[in-house]
Amino acid sequence: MRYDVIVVGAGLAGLFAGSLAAQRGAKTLVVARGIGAMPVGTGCIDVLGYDAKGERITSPTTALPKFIKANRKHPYALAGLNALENGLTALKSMCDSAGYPLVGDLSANHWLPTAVGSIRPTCFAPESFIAGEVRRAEPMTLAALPGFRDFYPHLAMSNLQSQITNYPITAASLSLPDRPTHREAYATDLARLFDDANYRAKVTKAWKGELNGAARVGFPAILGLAHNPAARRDLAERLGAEVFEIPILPPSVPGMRLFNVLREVLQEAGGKLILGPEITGRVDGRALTPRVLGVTGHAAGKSTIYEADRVILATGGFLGGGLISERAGVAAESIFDLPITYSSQPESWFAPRLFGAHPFARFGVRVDDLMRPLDAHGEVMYENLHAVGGLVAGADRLGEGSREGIDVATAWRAIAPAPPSARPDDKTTIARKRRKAPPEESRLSPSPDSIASTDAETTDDTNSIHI
Amino acid sequence: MTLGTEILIIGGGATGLGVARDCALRGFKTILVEKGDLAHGTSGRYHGLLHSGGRYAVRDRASARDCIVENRILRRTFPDAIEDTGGLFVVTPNDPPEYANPWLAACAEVGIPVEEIPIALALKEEPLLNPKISRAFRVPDAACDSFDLLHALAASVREAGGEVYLRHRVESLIVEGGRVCGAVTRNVATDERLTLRAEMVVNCAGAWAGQIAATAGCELRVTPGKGTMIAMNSRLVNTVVNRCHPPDDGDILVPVGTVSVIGTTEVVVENPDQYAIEAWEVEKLLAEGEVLVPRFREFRALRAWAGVRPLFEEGRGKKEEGSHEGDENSRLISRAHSILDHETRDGVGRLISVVGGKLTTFRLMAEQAADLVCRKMNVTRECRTAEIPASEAGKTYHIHGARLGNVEHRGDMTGRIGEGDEIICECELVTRAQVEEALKASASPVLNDLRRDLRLGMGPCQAGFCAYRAAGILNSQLQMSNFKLKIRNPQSAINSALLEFLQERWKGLRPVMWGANLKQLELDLTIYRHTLAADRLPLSREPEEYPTEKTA
Ligand SMILES: Cc1cc2nc3c(=O)[nH]c(=O)nc-3n(C[C@H](O)[C@H](O)[C@H](O)COP(=O)(O)OP(=O)(O)OC[C@H]3O[C@@H](n4cnc5c(N)ncnc54)[C@H](O)[C@@H]3O)c2cc1C
Repeated sequence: MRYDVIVVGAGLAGLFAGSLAAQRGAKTLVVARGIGAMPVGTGCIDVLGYDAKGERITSPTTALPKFIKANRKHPYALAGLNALENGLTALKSMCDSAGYPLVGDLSANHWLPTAVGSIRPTCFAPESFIAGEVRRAEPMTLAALPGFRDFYPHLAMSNLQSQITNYPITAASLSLPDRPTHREAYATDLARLFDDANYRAKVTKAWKGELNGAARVGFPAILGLAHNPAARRDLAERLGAEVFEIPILPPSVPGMRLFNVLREVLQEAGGKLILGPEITGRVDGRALTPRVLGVTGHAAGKSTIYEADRVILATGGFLGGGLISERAGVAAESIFDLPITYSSQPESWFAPRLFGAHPFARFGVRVDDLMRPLDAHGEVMYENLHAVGGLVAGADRLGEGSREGIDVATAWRAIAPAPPSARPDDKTTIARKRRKAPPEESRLSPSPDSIASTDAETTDDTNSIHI
Repeated sequence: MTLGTEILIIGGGATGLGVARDCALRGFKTILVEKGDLAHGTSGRYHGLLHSGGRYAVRDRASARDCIVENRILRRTFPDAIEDTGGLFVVTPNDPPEYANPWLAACAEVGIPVEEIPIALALKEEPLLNPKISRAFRVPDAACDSFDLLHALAASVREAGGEVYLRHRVESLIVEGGRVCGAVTRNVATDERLTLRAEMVVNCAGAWAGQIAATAGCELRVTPGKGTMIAMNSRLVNTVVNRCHPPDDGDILVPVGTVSVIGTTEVVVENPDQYAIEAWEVEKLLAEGEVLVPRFREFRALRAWAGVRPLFEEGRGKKEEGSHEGDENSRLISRAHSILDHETRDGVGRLISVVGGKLTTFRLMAEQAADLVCRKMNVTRECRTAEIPASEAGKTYHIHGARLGNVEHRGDMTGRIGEGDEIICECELVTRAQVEEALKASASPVLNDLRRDLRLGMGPCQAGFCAYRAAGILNSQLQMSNFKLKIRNPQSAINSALLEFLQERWKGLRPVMWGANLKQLELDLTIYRHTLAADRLPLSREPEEYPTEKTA
């Protein structure tokens, strides 16, 4: 089977890259072993949450120019801030069109409560998260759902209370009927219950008395899987309070919603999704300019060859399976056996403390500014292969609070055509075959110019924004 | 505050609890103090083998004889801490074939029953075993869960009228007129000081015994011999398997619960509180594992940990420090134990130290120590620990899989999940009621104790799911003021408990971080760092009481 673009990996980077390519008219296949890491995330888009000192960032717009100046090999620096902005705009419009809006702005992080009562900066969040903003001086009530083992609001409450003193934070016990009786309830079980309007009507009747006039009520992120926006609006109306969600242990319902949205966008734009096969890469060894030919999928005892003009690797880091380590001190890229940056001293992979700065987090495939893997000499290995997302070297995504932002920026960069002036000989197949007009390249406000101007100290960084 | 007792025992390992049980059963008023939790020291970090004595038969007959005698007594008195796995000694292609016959003769001499079995039978019983073994011998080794054993011992001490004070660290012995008459302790949770006056003090502080003796001016050189072990994520064998050769690194594989443990290394270290697991040790253990079970490395290594042997031989100075070459030396230090009367030894009265030995022989050590106590106190009282079974003990050995049976039949017979039946730790099948019960009993907000008590967080998910749940339950318990203890800052205590629990797991994982473990690490960081931002919990303090790892 022949495609214009094959994306390997169905995490955020892969599905977003695939959706972008498909929307631009490329015949697109997303193929992946499993469903990627979205079901273990928050369902939010973190762009830049923490500065070098580990302090929470208020405005990514202000912080980013300085950040990429200090981190020249970071995926953001390579992809460029335009790619980040354009990518985020595209992602937002995909979510909008699927009726599951993400709310946010590059100029200001939300600060949202976590299920232990820490405060987490994130840039774009589903509507159902927004009323949790901790800087809003408005009483907050957290829902305790007895019998549900994956949410402990009293723990969150007391930790939030010790950080927030200008409004009361309380917890209220709300009963959850109709849970599974012969096994523990998972977040997904409850989310499906909340998709049902009758269920919502039934429980809210019982809850109203418990909440006595709370202004906003925080739930674990279980408020609907297929119909979250409707569930949130309906609950808010029935309770006479704003409701918001707090992400919890996997399975992450908001992560699954985002997965479903992107799958829908991909398929609606004519892209194909195949989940299950083990993938190996196919390379044209004889060609003068080394190219990849596509991939082979191994499933159910047979192998299928998928050919493509262009392959996007979005297989993630160690969790996603893009990187594998079979022994202490050894790491490899799993599909094309690309060279990766890592240390061969097992002692130097990990920090002594669990939450320390782990060097292994930065391991990955080195890429050029079009996200094409580089060899040991810094040369592009295959002109039609790109690596995006967690596979790309040079970022500590959890430490920086940049996990999803990197997925979006690198995927955009790999799919979007290069500026013709910069690379005259690099007209991509995608650009030529473009059928639909690309989404308007409108910028998230503020524009890159105002990014620089909002931060007087970094005015001289303006050039570094436009790579 | 000051309390008085007849016998004060320092150290809540197998030795100290054994002495406490013995003294209490002989009718002495007995108090035991332990600076951490039960099994906080070496007894909680050992290999898990109830020796038949086979390992020592050639080189150290006395120890071997002690082992087989005690092995039989423990099977009788503490059966439910023991899984009767049986043991095998096998001659692999890497072992000197000429060792087996003298070994057989030595076992016969000390009374260890050995039965040579056909290779085909050994391989049928243990299909993963190296098919190239040339001989196989059956011995009465067993697996002994030290957490269960120590809990049963402590219960039995209390039942006999003795007391066990956890989280009480001895700061110094009190010496008056040339004799020890008690100790000053500090409660590590509340910082309160408690003076315990006693007729007689028995120092059972294991690798830390020298530190205790020093506070009474006695020089006691206990050499800490670090041993590293790796738990593999399945029962590769159902029998304890030993290499039939002179004792060496990585030559025993013990099935313990759901895992099997390969061990150990032996490296003399300077400080029993500060040692790192080194990469060569992990490599060595995996390589030796391959000799017993081909393709050993392809199984998942679940965690690594180390304990420190209290090695002691009177008159022997300090061994070479930390060096790789040092292990030959330290393996030659006897595994036998010493009961030291500091009155005759150092001229300091009323102090006894019990050092060295093995977990298998703790009861015998305790008996001899208590005999000395009687002599010193001029009384004649018979030892009864060889006859009286632990009262909590059932009549049967621990059966692997019993826990699964219990959890599967939780609640009523309909299979409905009742209040408290929810599983909090899927890997080790721990329910909410068990967590609540254990927290209530432990009287201190330390999640790490649950690891020891319930095996919470010990499985392949690396505590990824249960740590948060357990912290949530701990929080509710504190709010319901289930603790007798006054906690200075409950919120900080809970956050620290969570962070220390996660950190303690990380310590065990870091040496074996590749393959599935690395995937799991990224997942757990995605939960705790990304989703929960647990690293940003307010008011957290650094852990203090656990051996800190040197950065390698
Ligand atoms: C790697 C390894 C593997 C082993 N495998 C086996 C085996 O398979 N079979 C076997 O039979 N034996 C084995 N052993 C030996 C066995 O584990 C030990 O001999 C035994 O556990 C020692 O028990 P203990 O009570 O003397 O010491 P510990 O268990 O160390 O107890 C001493 C206690 O004293 C406490 N303490 C210290 N200082 C103070 C203070 N100031 N105040 C209050 N309390 C204090 C400590 O916290 C500790 O809990 C192994 C040992 C090691 C190191």
